Amino acid sequence: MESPANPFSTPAANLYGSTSGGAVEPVAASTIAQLAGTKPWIRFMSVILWLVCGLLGFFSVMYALAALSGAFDMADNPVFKNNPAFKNNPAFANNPFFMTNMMRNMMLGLSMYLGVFALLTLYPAVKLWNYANSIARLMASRSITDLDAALTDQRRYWKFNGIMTIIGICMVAIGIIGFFAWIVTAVQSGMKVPR
Amino acid sequence: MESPANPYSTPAANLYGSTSGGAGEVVAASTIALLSATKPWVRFLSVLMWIGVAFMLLAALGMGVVSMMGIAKQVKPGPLGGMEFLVLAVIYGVMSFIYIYPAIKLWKYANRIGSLGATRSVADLDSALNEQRSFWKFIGVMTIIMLSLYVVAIIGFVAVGAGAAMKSGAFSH
Repeated sequence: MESPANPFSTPAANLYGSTSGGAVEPVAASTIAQLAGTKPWIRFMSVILWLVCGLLGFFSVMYALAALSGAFDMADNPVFKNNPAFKNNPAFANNPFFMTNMMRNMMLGLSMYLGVFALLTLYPAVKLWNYANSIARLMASRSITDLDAALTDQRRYWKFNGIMTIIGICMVAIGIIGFFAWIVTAVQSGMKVPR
Repeated sequence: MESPANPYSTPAANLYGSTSGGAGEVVAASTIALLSATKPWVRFLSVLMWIGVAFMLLAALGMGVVSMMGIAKQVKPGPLGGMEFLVLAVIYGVMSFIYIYPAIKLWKYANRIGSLGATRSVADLDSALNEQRSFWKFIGVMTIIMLSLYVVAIIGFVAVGAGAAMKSGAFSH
């Protein structure tokens, strides 16, 4: 929202330097100074998030490749095939899923888990990166448009963090309820509680 | 820093409502709207941090009491001579104090946004952004400290491992 230009006002020098356009309102120098002081820390945290995202993505791909390479298929692996502890144990021998796929599936699951976390780290990393970029543009242009763009990026960052926190709390609550439900069901079905 | 007032300028109506002072600059409505939309999320995360601080203090207090009563010593003497609970209490206490600062900063950030919505003054916008700057600075500094500690810990583990291996004669031919 811009204030209407007054053709009868006295001439005034633009103390904050040139703006990107003639009709653009300049943002106060003090506001720009505050955001300029925030920028290096935002950029730093964004880089850290990018690194975390990259590491998570790297390990996700490595686990997926290891699982798909067949090195962890246990059916033909002599370590398990010739081991009497597994061979003669009906819990393992009669369970082809365990013998053939358990390790591979566990590694694929871990790969997906890390991949999801890599994607969840990507969004805040992008938002913080954009926030730092918008602050840099604001420092050059001093326009309200760039200030609003910067504040939009930080709003999205906080919103994402808030939503992820709510989802995390819900998942923990479901986990706790599920755990107790499992205990109660196990006790009711005749499992003895060790004393 | 405000622009110098010009006593010779023509009078102008304040189109954006009252400000906290006659000389207070007015912040654009779009900027206030964006920060107002940020406020509930910042407040929510601040409240969660306060709850986390309270839980950590409770845990520290509980472990401190257990340590003082000497229950840990009676149950099983550990490698720290029954001081494990006291060490954990100190760690939790320090952690809770570390979390208090960002919780305060986020709380104040939300408060300043609330004030900005009422006054629309640049001074309130600046104080809100100042709280945000302090928050990010603290988080950045803590991250640097944590990364440094990780590096020191890794070097320490490698040094201790290498030292133990050399003592046991692993490298001797």
